[in-house]
Amino acid sequence: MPLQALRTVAKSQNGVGAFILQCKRLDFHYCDWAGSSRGMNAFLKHHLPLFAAQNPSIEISVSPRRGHHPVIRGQYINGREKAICVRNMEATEVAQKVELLKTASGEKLKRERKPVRSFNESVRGVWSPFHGQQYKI
Amino acid sequence: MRTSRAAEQALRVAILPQPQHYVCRACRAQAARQFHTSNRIHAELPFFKHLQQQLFGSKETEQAEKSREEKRERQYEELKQRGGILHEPEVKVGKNGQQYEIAALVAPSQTSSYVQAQTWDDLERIGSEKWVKARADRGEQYVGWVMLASTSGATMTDALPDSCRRSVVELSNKQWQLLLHHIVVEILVLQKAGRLPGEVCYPRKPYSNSWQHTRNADIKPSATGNGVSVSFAHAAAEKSILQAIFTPIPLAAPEDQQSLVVEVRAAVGDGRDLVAKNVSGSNIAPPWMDFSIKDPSVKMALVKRIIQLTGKRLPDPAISLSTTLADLYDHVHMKEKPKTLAEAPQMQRIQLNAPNVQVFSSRRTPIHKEMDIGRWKIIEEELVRRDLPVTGSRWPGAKAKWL
Repeated sequence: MPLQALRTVAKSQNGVGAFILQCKRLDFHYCDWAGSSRGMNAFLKHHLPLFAAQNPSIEISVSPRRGHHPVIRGQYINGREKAICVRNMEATEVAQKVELLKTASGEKLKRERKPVRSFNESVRGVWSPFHGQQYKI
Repeated sequence: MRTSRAAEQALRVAILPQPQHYVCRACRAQAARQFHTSNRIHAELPFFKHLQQQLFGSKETEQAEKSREEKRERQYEELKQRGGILHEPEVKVGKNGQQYEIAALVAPSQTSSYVQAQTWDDLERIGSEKWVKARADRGEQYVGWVMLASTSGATMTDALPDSCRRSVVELSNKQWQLLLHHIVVEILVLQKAGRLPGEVCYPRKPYSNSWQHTRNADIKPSATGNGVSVSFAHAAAEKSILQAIFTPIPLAAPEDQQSLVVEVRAAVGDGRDLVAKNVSGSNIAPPWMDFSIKDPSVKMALVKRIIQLTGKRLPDPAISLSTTLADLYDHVHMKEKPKTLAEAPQMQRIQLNAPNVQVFSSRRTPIHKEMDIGRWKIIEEELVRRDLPVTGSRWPGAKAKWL
């Protein structure tokens, strides 16, 4: 019986063919009174309209939280949440943090020991003792 | 390779997130001019020739100049054939019976006395000191019709008694509505009598007290469907308003500052002792203001009278874009500063324009989140069934561990 190779089925990878943004929702919390929210409030007034128009797939909610530092909370499609406190930050710094939350995958941050990895199996195939050169003792 | 390098740069720039969101028009134009994917030697014109043409003009620009000159000469010839009145200004009659003088056309090639100016030193500049002096020498006396400029900052009520030296009179919303009502009634009465709406800026006769009659006037859409009509309780009121305004501008009786101040004070009534039915005092314009001011003579009369009485100058776009009196009121009335971020106009606008943004004026609690996904009803039922408090965590046993 001839040996048949296993058929490889294309595995879906995000960004190959289609890309789904992992961030699904961003919540902006600010305080009307506190000075630590000044940059956040400026961001909401002047930068948020453009950001919202550029990212229609992200649900954005803006709500006050009196007496607390401003916080941006991102929710991801893997069910995780990430929150960044943006107290005393300028509007441009807040924009950078928003960009960070938008591009994040939602996974927990971990140290990459081996930065290069492949999802493709080896072209040599799985080693088998019954094929190839026969060793004779 | 230059082409591929430039393309690479363009792609890289397109992919990178832009840290600077606003680039001025001049910089954008310059960037568009300087960005080329093709080599300079492949350009239609050599670089220096292009520069030369930009500085000294090309054949096309010379041709265009020549055709413009020909057109001007043709226009001059036509005018000559029509009546030959080259030295006397032509007069045209407008829609309202006003007469306009058309400036005389001068052909430089045919008029030997015409010398083209090389610098602007000796050219007539309208409004300059020299111009004013020249007019005064001819016997013309300049009479200002707007309130004199000076300090500003106080409110209407505390400044009016001696406010001859104020530049802009600050009025509350209620006072603005009263003043606009007063001006509009006067303009409508003038129009009804067949006089020009611009005459509303003419001086008033002493002790005329028009405001007593205008305040009780009703502005309603006219029965014909176009325009509005004004009605008075007594027919004599209309007559006295008309009589109060001088028919020709009297040279001997220019409107002085004190009379303008008295006019404003009387029209707005100090904002205290008012029993005005047409006034609401809110930011939103009352219904009687929803009438068209598309007629330029009415609109200009209105704007001029506002400047004359209050010193408030409206920007040109605001004037040209205002089609109703309500639009004009939106530009003049006092805007209240938003107290919270959620009330700011930017946040209100984003809520309307961006469908993926929700702006809340109060804190969002976990209960709101449960409500959004429709789970709160079940949670509430379960809490009630177990005899537990529905909201809050300050109850005995809230932190007890379940065994």
